[in-house]
Amino acid sequence: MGALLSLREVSVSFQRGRRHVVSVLANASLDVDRGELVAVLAQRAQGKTTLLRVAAGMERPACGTARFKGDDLYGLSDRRRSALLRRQIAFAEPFGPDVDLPVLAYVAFPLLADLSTKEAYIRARIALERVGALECAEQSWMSLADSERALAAVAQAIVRRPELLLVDDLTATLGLGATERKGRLLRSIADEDGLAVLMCVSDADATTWFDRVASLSGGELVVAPAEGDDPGENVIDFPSDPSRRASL
Amino acid sequence: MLGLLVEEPANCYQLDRRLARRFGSAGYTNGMARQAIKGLIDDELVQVLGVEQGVRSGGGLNVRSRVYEATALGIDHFERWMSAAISTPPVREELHAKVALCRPGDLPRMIVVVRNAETVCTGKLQALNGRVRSRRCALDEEDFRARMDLVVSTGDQAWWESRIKWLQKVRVYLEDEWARCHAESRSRMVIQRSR
Repeated sequence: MGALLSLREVSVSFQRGRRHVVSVLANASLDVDRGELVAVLAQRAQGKTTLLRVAAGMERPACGTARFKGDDLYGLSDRRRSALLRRQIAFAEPFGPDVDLPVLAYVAFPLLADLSTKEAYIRARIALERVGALECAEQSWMSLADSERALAAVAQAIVRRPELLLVDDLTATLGLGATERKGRLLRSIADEDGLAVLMCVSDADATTWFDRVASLSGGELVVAPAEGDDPGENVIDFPSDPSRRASL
Repeated sequence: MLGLLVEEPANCYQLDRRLARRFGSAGYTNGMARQAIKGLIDDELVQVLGVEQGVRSGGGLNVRSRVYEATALGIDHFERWMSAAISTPPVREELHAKVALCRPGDLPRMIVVVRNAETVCTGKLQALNGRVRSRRCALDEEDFRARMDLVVSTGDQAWWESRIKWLQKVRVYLEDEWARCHAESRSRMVIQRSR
């Protein structure tokens, strides 16, 4: 069986002015399997969000393909693609709505198109409890701390029981302990639900609970070799003399 | 190494194992303990506690190994080191020298070299994460040692992160530089042709 999400030689660029073209992604390829957690480490403005938007079917690439369960996302009709994004692909980001909604309403929001309000709210409560943020249910979104917003964003993403969870730098403003707890939480959710997670991060400590790590900069995605694979030319383990190497 | 012996006496093999487990990401090689112990004995910071008899795994010959312990001087030295400010010397590698000596014609090769370094570093971070996960799963989250382990492992991760981020910047810079050199040589050719 193929990967749940498969990006192949995806390129995205934006026109800036009449002459200048900014290349955000250049021939980026990545596979994410069911139950697998993949972290993409990148600095600010290096195409993290664009990569996730392409994977979510929200940003058509200039070239290359994005497949979800074997289907070319951009070969689907807009209607089918938005249905996928509503049910099977979830996007968690730390920036919530500008309107001041209660957290419970915010988490239940994606379900309102398919379920009754009562049922949507029941499922939202369950999702909030699962991430350990039930006490925030009645608070307003605007009043939440960064750490609580991250939890609410994860709850809103998992409430629709997706197969693929895309996470955009949820831990950027969190401290060590909170980042560790979010990582553990995503790992346990992925393990319990067989969920695939693709998360973009700007700090390495957020990658601890992830199976694979990739690096993104200048539009180029560099994926770490799987365990046992040849990493290619190793220019890090210099010098060859053991005592000098140990002194590094 | 001295710190490990202050914690608990051990033979060289046990020290190598503990060193790899505790400071795995630093890439220590087997045999490091033996080398370090010699220096520590010369400085009277470590002494032989006794000789223990063991059996080589898979049967066969008896193995006699020396067990070492920290001396009173060693413990005092360790305590002073623990409370002193840190001073980490900057790490210089061959890559720095290569970038410094790089000529325009070397740029395509340098970009590949830097990308490979980035792949290796990302792989190192990935492997470190695997070790950290298994170690942390075995520890009770409420345990003090588990909380200190979080600090130690994030320090290791930060080391690789800074490496990866530096390499990312270098690669993008070299790619821009190569594009600039390429554009310059093309415009020179156009000028020559027009003449």
